Amino acid sequence: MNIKHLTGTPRTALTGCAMGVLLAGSIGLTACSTPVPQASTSGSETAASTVAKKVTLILGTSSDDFYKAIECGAKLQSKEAGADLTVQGAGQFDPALQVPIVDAVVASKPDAIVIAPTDDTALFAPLKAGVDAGSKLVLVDTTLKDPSLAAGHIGSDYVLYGKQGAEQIAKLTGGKGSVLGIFSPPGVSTNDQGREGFSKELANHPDIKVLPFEYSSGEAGKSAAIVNAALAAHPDLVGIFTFNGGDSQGVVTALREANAGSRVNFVSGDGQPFQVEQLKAGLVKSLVIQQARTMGKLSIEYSLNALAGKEVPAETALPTIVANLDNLETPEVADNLYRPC
Amino acid sequence: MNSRLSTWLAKPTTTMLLILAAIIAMFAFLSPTTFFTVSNAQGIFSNTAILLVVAVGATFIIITSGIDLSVGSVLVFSSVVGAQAMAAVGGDSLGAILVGLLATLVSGGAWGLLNGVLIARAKVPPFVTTLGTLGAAYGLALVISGGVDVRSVPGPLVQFGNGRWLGVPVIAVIAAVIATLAGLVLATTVFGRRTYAIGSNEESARRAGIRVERHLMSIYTLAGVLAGLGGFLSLARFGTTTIAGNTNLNLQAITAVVIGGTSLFGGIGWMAGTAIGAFIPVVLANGFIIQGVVPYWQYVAVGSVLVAAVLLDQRRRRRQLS
Repeated sequence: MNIKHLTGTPRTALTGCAMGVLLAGSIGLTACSTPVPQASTSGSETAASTVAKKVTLILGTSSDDFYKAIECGAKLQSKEAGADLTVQGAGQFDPALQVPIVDAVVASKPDAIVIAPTDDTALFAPLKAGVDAGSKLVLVDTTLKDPSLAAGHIGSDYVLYGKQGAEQIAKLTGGKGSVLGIFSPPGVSTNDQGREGFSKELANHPDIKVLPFEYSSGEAGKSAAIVNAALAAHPDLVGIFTFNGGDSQGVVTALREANAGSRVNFVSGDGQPFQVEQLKAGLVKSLVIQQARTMGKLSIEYSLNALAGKEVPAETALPTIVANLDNLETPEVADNLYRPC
Repeated sequence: MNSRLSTWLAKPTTTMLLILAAIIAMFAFLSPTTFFTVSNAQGIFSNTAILLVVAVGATFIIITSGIDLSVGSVLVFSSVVGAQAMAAVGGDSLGAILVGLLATLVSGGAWGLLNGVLIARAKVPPFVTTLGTLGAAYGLALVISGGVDVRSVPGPLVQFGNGRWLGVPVIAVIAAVIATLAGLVLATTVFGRRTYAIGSNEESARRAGIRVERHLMSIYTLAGVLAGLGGFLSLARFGTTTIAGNTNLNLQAITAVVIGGTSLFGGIGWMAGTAIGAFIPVVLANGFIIQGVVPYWQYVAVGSVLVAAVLLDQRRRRRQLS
């Protein structure tokens, strides 16, 4: 090529190539800055006891305090057990976003995958590919329709979760009046079980009228609208329970706008930092928290046990804990509040 | 030979192809046993397929200097309609599956037609129109489904959606066929030429005798049908609707088209570029995850590539004018 021709369009092409090289270089630099020992062979065959086990944790979302608490537990246990932990997660609770992440993680051939699946059906095929390729699988929080694929599943006792919420509501309302429960739409297994426990417990209180359930998956705007409507439609509303902590902001807002904070007793599931502030300010009367950190710890313990050929319980349902102003400082509650390490 | 090479190198698509090759080479070098494998490639193809189908429609629209923000919602809507149609017919038969396919294509096309009518006849700007249908389609999807994902997709369809043909994922084959056909239409047919003409200068095109309104309507309808097909492929792949998802599909499609070298200002574009542009973000995300890099870097990387692509386009336009 005549060098004099290197103006205009071919020069643009070369500039583009230069940009491409820069981009590739920046990828390389980013990769080099994070020390990730690449498993050079299949991983579990050679010198299994001296090479650190590679575990990848795939969260439901990467920016949720609950999942950050699970991540904290996993990090603590990995450090103690000497496992090499990588954490991944999409920005939103969306199977269409989680599947490509699972595909890539499976391709990286970890010894074990710990995942909170965002859909009980859509994630089966991608995770099966990982198990077939030799990785051990542990499910945390949510589960698959067919959990036999995994070595074990660790979740909370969601029936107890709903039951404890109902118990608190019954106690606070003196067992009389209308009560509203806000859950994720049917199909989310955790919430379905929560609703079951909630309804069963409230059936023991004949003077409590259980209003038809409303559905929101932690969207403050939606829950605010739900509570606005409920306050208008049911003047005898005395108690609200939200399964998902994300909904509590909307409930508190709606109660404040209607000046109904003293009349309506609010109990929420989850223990995110803003919820703890609400508890301290008296805007919510009690919180039903999951043992998120313990979940994370156990998930690593179980995956390492599975890799070592030891027995792992197929289903572990950790009891939920009721947190209120009295026990907020106790280690059992304080350790399990949802926050990163 | 010299000028042919120069012309080929001049295309921004070529630059992007080289960038994609550089990215693949870099990741292959860093993780030879994990990134550069057949199974990982199959995963990348699967994860690009639906985006590519939607981006094909977006290419036509962007070439006419329009935009379609509603594709994600239309995909969700048509997947809900399709899943419910199949559930209504019942059973696992091919007939039920074909009913589902028809339902997704028609419902997607209906939204596309609505977009087209509002844009071409009522002269509402594309950004505003499709922003409106984005909300409306999503809302109606929630109304029809009651906010609950429909999970009863016929088994044979899910097997099809996760199947492979000669080692290549079936949905990727379908996406490739559609992209190729659309590329040929764009490059060789009168329909394609009219698309470029309208994008280049709508008023001149109108005065040259092109029925601009009718053409625009057909393009937006086509995009709607393709979003519907995306919904069908999504049902086939995941075995369920994903109502809460696909919220960023519109921006992902636009990113794919623009990275590929199509100009946001209309009149210039290549389907091959769209295909490359669809792969780059998926490959970047995949490579980063295999590297164990914090996932947020992929957004930075994709954003940089996008800006670089637009800058290249600007430089080319300025040179053309001078």
